[in-house]
Amino acid sequence: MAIELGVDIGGTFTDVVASDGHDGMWSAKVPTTPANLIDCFLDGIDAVLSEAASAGHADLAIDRIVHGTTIATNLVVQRAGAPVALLTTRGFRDTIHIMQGRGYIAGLPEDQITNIHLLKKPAPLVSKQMTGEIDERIDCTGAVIVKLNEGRAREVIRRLSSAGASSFAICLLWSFVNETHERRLREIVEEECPGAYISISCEIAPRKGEYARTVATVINSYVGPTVRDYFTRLEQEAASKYRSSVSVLQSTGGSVSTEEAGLNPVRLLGSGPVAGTMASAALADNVIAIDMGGTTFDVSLIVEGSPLRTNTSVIHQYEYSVPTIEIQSIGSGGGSIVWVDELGTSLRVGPRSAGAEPGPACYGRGGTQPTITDCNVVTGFLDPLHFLGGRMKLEPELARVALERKVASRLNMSVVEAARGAIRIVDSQMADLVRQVTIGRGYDPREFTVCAYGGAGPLHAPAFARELGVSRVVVPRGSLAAVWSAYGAATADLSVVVERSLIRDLPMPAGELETELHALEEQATVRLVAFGAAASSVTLQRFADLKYGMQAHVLEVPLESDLDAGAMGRVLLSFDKIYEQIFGIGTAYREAGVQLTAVRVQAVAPGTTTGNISRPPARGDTGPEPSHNPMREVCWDAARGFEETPVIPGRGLVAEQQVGGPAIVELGVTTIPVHPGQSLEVTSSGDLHIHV
Amino acid sequence: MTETSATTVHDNRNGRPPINELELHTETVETIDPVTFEVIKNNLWNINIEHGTTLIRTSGSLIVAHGRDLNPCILTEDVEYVFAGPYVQIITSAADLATRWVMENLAGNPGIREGDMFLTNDPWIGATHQMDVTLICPVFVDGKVFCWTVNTMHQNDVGGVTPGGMSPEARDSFHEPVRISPVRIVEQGRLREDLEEMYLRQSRLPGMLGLDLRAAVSGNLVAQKRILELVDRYGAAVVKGVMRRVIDHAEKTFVNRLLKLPDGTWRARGYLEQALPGDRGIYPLVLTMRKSGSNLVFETEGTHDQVGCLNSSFAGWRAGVINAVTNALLHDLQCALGGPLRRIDFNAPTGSLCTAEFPGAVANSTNFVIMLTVSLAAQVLGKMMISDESQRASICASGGSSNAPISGMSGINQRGEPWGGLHMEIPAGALGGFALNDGIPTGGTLWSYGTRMPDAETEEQDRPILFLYRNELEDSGGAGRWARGVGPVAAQVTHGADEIRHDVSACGFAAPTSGGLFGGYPGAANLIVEKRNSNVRDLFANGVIPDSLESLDGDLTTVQPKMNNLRQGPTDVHEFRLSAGGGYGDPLLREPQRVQEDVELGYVSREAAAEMYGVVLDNDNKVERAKTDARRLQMRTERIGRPPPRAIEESDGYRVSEYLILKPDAEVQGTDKDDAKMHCRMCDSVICGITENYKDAAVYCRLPISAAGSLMNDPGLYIDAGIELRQFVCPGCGTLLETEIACEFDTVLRDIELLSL
Repeated sequence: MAIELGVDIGGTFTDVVASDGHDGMWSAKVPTTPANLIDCFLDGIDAVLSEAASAGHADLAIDRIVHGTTIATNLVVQRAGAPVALLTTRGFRDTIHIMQGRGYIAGLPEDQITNIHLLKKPAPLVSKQMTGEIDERIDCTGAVIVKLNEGRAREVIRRLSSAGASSFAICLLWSFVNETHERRLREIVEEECPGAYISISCEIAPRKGEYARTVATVINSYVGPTVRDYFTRLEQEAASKYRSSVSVLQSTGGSVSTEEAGLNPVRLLGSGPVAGTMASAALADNVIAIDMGGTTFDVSLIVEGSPLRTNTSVIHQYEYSVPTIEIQSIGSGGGSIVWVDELGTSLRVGPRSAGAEPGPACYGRGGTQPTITDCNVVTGFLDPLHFLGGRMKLEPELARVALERKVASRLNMSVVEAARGAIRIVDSQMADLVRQVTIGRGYDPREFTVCAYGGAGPLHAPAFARELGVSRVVVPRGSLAAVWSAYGAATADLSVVVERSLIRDLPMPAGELETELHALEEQATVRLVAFGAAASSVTLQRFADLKYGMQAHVLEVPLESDLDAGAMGRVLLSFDKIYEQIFGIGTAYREAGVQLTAVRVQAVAPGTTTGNISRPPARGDTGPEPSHNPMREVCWDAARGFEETPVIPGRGLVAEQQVGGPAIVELGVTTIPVHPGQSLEVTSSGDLHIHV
Repeated sequence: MTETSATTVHDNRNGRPPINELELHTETVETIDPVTFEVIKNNLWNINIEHGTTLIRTSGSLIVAHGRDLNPCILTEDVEYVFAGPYVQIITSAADLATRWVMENLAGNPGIREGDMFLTNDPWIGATHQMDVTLICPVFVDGKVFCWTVNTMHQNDVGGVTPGGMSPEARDSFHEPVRISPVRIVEQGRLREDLEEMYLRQSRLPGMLGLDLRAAVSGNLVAQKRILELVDRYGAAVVKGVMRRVIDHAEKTFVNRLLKLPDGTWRARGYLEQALPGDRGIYPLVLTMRKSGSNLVFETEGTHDQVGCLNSSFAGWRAGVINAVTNALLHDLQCALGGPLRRIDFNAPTGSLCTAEFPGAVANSTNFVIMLTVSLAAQVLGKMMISDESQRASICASGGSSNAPISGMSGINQRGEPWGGLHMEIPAGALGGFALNDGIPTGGTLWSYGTRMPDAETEEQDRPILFLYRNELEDSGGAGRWARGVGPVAAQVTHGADEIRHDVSACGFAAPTSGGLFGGYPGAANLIVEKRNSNVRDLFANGVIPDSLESLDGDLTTVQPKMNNLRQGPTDVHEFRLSAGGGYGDPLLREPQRVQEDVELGYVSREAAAEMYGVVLDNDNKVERAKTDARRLQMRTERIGRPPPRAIEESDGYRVSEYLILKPDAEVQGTDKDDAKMHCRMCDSVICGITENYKDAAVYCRLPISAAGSLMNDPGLYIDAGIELRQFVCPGCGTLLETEIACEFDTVLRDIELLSL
């Protein structure tokens, strides 16, 4: 039988999901081996194969392996990339250091940016000495103002090469309008430094704005050599051991060949959480996907089956222009510290986090600051004996002491009141973020289903969903919730996003736009076919970035296929409509004209030979044994104090079973509180629906 | 709040008593549990952020979308700030004055009703300058005003003789964009087209103005809707209770912080130059801050009378002070200005540079008086806060862009359309040295939290320009124990148009505006300069991009800080430098290793390392210890005219400046604090008594301003008077206690005057 594998290497654990496309699905969790990631990749696959074998399936042939990896992200965060040299237009050596002035606040919460004395620019990705300035100039129309001075360019490249550069990033002004200088420069680098890793910005991020384009290109070359070598070795191992090829999940939510991923590693940044979003897209048409772990709360949105995308992302305060699934984060996690302000009158939560070390007080690792996890322990939401499926024992007394000393005594509250209060505050912070992500873009959260996963997602989702007016929370059934990202990888389609900067006033001749889009579609299709997709299975979607004349920010709108003059008119109308949906009736200002700034094509093909993996029906689940204590004291409401509450092990749940709140459902690595007035229902596929 | 200047506020009541037809929703729940409080407080903060995000995403101008030259706020029904946004602080700090005027003057006629919004840009009512257009929206609950949401955005062009509005030759306000006293431009939810047309009719860029007007309306609509949702959910009295408590909490925190600090008076002085084109004068701006218990009073005594185009209205100057107070004392309080404003008074007689009477020219206020005031206020606040260790980290020397040199550009762009705009490097100023850390090269300014410089490609798309370079400028940061306030430099040629008109309206060419603190040196001066009739096009043809003015042939041409209608032709290269960040503390105390890093990172030249820091580097740019020690000793010797009798050895005590501590007088043997003496913290030498002026006891050196760094300009090119760098040095060890930038005719400024501890 042929199976497909999803392998997700996280910071601590490597998750693997195997599916035969029908009823057979197995999963495994093995420790991540940071020193050599290939070890845990292989360990995980072996583990899942032996899991399948013990279930009577020893004759499995691996059809494909889809890999979700944080290797690129880690290389940036740990500043462990290759010694990279940047070649840029003379006069713009410092673009990436200036960071648009205050651009370094990117990704920081707004209430922190007023602490100007506490902020810093991140460590540079490339030094000024390793930046070569090239005499050449192109203008905004693509006209060559100064020809590429090849002689001087060669000297610059030799200097950088002798200074140790093994990887080059090339980002020239306006290269996305006229690519010739970047392409020629790449040839010269190839001649001067054979074997060097080279990225050019017109391929990596062909969009206006030299800062974010430079960052994208530099990151690409910074992580490229290591990532490429890793994938090469991975392919060799997979081929020799399993006779399978590997594809890689990108942050666009689709998978590509390892070769493509090695050329474009900047598109791997942030792909970890994206896998969870993609998995959630299968659950409902409109989904608010919620991932909450120890330090962050991530939200992404799926509208009518498609995850919302963004064209600019942030890593380590650097903005880079690469299309990705949009994931918004706040620093609210289990580790968020609960504290009292200096007046001693306000209860506050975060943004500081106790992280993993020392972690929450109840971890018993020396942490004295109370955290949200401590609050969940003292209120009875978390069972100290079964945290993370029993992988870790918590010490509730330490949680109580920390809350008493740092919070409750100062506010004249009981420990439980303080803990309930902190949980309410963090729930409200999450609801606020979800509100911004939905209402702020013209969507009504009440029309969405919340899909919650990650260690703490299901713990908080039933409460904040109620605050948002969401009627249903879905938690993927136990064994899957624990390996949700690996599942997302296994089910990922092949997909590429190609784009081109094109600046035109609308309406423009439909023919010209059609020609541009058609070229992008061909380019995208060719690439998908190269990854193994059948040309007939490729579906294409077109988008354009539009703005009212003179506006600086753009809005992405979908375009019809086969554009004609009538379609151009409809594009304008639909832009007005989308704009007013987000910014309010009467705010569209057609008098200012409408300008197109970029066009984009997403090509998608099923990654599997069997079509989409169907989700198999429920089987035995993980989680504590049914013999686990059937009742415990939980504080649902500070005013009512502790109430004896049934505890239901996920393992014991069967399809179509109903659980009325208040109740606690214990899954393998997480816990679902079913609040009073809510009810939980097990669907036929084994997912857990909480009716809020 | 006492506002002496309120008499100059334009008043259309003709002596009639205030109209009290406006009903206010004042019901307040006093007892709110800390959890509900925190939840609603976060909601309100996020609502204001969403208001700001809406403005940014819908605005038509680079100034708003990248410059973030905007700010929304929420005011209570009786016009106290709940939250301002983390954008340009100065721009929102007049919103309360404008809103109060609307309340007091318009309630009867035309009336204030649900769905109305009021537009104004009048600096004598409540705008920093005429380009900062404010839209005021009352939020009604049960037919009564529950609160106000207000936004202000800097507009590219609202008329006046000079494109962009900041005219260097405005002799009075009638040369400037028209002042619009508050008008009800949105009536019960409908934008009044007649008033809109009247407003847009003033502008050279009506399309952009129209787009931003809609952005302002949507911002208020978003905020209003969200606030009403909160009211629905929790009840008006609870939401109001939270608003009041946010204000009370910020007030209490502010008071607690002030009570830890000594009472006294602190002063700082800066200069504006050239009142009008052709003028060669220089005009002092003195900021005095008096602290008594838990109150601060800011005064303008010693400031020059209003003159030429240099002035600000009271609303603008006050906004600059509030901005600096927010940075220093409220940085962790989410811009909750309302409470602290109860404790701040302004004692500022009208008619000065800071408090111009109508119809003085005030359109340049933000880049002249207000930015300078932000820096001066940062200095006086820093000097007050130094004594409390817990407040020390936020003390800073002047940030970059302490005076934005405006070159209003205009003409016909490459597509044949009229265009206008400013040099957009201004937001990429620099943060100067902090008390415990280095500043941030091209890291922003002290007057805005989120402002960004647009990409060169964004600018070249719509402007007929081609940048030659845009980089960090070596040696521009003021030297200091803590430094790196390195600012940007940029140069452009015309592209796609035969010429660009520049209307230059700047200060800080002759006298640098980014002062150092506690012995730190000022950051580089502003400069606009041109190489005219250059060979730039020949170089292009030969495959060369010039990366400095030195690499071009042509006529180096001084551009005066006030210059109307300067025409840049095809072979003229226009270079623009921004006042950089000041240094903090004596540069000779900067760790040599850091100076080595400065050189490696391209922030400091080898020459400046030796000249300014006394650090000698070998050929590989590594510190030569012995030579460095010797050179530093020699520099200390030069400062005091003899070998320092005492070695550097830090001691501890109650700090009244970075290098001055109070110690009981050993001879008197008393414990009375009034008997304490100021000692040098670096060598323990007794400097003076607590109530005396340490500057009288220090060794005083007067040096030409060129001694402050290689990027100071020759004042003689711009003004008649000389500009000095004054040093006040410890006679014991030669440590630089303080520097002063001064006009040669001005007396020494008494910067620290303690009353009690």
